[in-house]
Amino acid sequence: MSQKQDELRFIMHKQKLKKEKRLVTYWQLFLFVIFFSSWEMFSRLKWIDPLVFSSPSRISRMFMDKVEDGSIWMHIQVTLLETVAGFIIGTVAGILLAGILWWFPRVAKIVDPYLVILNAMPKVALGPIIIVALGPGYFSIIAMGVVISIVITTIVVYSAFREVDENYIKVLRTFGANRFQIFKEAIFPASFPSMISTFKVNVGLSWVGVIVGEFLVSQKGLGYLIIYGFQVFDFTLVLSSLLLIAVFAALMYQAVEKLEKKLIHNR
Amino acid sequence: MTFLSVKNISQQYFSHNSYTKALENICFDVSEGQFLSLIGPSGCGKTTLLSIIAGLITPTAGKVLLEGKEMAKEKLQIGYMLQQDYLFPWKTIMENVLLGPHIQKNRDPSLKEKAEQLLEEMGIGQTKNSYPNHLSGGMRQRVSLARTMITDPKLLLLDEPFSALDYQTKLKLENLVASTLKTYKKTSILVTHDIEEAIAMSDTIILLSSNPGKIHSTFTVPEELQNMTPFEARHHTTFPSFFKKVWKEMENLESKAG
Ligand SMILES: Nc1ncnc2c1ncn2[C@@H]1O[C@H](COP(=O)(O)OP(=O)(O)OP(=O)(O)O)[C@@H](O)[C@H]1O
Ligand SMILES: [Mg+2]
Repeated sequence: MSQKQDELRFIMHKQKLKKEKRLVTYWQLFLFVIFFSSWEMFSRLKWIDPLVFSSPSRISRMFMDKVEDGSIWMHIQVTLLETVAGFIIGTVAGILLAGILWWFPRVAKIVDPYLVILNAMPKVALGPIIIVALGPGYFSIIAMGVVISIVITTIVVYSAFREVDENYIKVLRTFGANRFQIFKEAIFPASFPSMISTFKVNVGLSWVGVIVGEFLVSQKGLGYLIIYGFQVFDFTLVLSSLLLIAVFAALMYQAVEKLEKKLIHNR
Repeated sequence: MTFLSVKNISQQYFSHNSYTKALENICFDVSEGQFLSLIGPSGCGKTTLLSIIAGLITPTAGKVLLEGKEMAKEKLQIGYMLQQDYLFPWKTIMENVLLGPHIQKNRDPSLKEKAEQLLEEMGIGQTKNSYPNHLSGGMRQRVSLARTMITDPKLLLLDEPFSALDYQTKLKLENLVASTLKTYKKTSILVTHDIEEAIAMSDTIILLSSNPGKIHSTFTVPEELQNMTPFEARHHTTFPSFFKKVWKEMENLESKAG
């Protein structure tokens, strides 16, 4: 009898969770629809300037055209490649640098003020120098994506390394572990949560670096389409590029969250 | 030759504008197969002393010799169970227990069986594939004990290994540890708050006084208690009188401090 009741309560609990989830999804869809339909309506009624703010129908028409003549794929491909490369190189190199700082504590102490200054500097201001140094092309743009994320990654991951509980190291040392083993068994895995949060920040940062890089180089990519649309006053083009960027940034963020679930399952 | 010899150990902890003297001139010898207990008020430096013997802290003065050699080179022969369990949350219980062999690159396949058996004997065999977060404090402490015992160290250092256990499990594990140590003639040093536990398990008891930690007195447990299992010892007729003796000494210490 009482077990039946317990089962019943469990089922009710599950139903409540489901209901809550459904409600949230409905609201999300509702907002989506409201946003785009009012955009369309306001634009047609000329409550907002259709030349500047365009409208969803114009954007989708332009998008169809571009898909048909195939030109959009090249731009998407270029920007995605640059962003993913900038993200991976910046993140991995930042973690490597953090590892080096952890390995040589004195080096870490010495370079500390330089890191602080580098971090405070607006890295996109280095754009012109990077483009002159590396030439106007992929390399410069990827370099922008890297430069913008590498310093903050180094700082955040290094401080995560240092905050790992001393006693895990003690346990390892009682078994005679060397420095590399301490890093591999305790420092690195214990820092997964902070690394994941830098991944999330870096997804956004590498998009900023790459889009600004494409503004400056102005040859191809979604950033180029934005600057081109601006110059010829085609804001439908600007907004459709912007929407594409939003979609791909969200996809990248999702990928990082998948990785998070995989790395941090039992804590 | 004495097995372990602690010579004139002093330890200071330094902070920005002051220092704490944790230990002052600690000297004692432990012979092979002996079981020594350290008791004393909280903060008297028991954990510090154990860490120094384990070679994890370099003392500000003095040295520790294991079979006549400086400790730093002898690390592999020591098993040290820290006061808190510090199980690695990203490793399963089994992986945690086998951490020592993993670090020492000992890939003997029989170790896994031994680990399973140890966990079984401690009453937590069913947890081997779970993660530490799913275990209670007492269960975690037992895993930590198993992790220390598996490497088969010559010298075992145990920092309050039974503090998180219920009374019954504690008595069972005392017996298990004592019999294992006796069979393999291991030497051990146990830190505890519990006078009864110290008497039941050890041959010699050292009482430390605090601020700074010094040896206040040393007791030799009566011969007949030494040769019994901890459980039997607790029920022997000489147990209460010896308990009173140690208790009184500890009272003296506290009244002097207060
Ligand atoms: N890392 C440290 N830095 C500074 N002071 C410390 C440090 N570790 C311990 N101490 C100080 O040294 C003294 C001895 O500490 P210790 O941990 O050895 O005591 P204990 O006898 O193990 O106490 P308990 O029974 O509570 O575990 C204390 O006064 C403590 O404040
Ligand atoms: Mg202690």
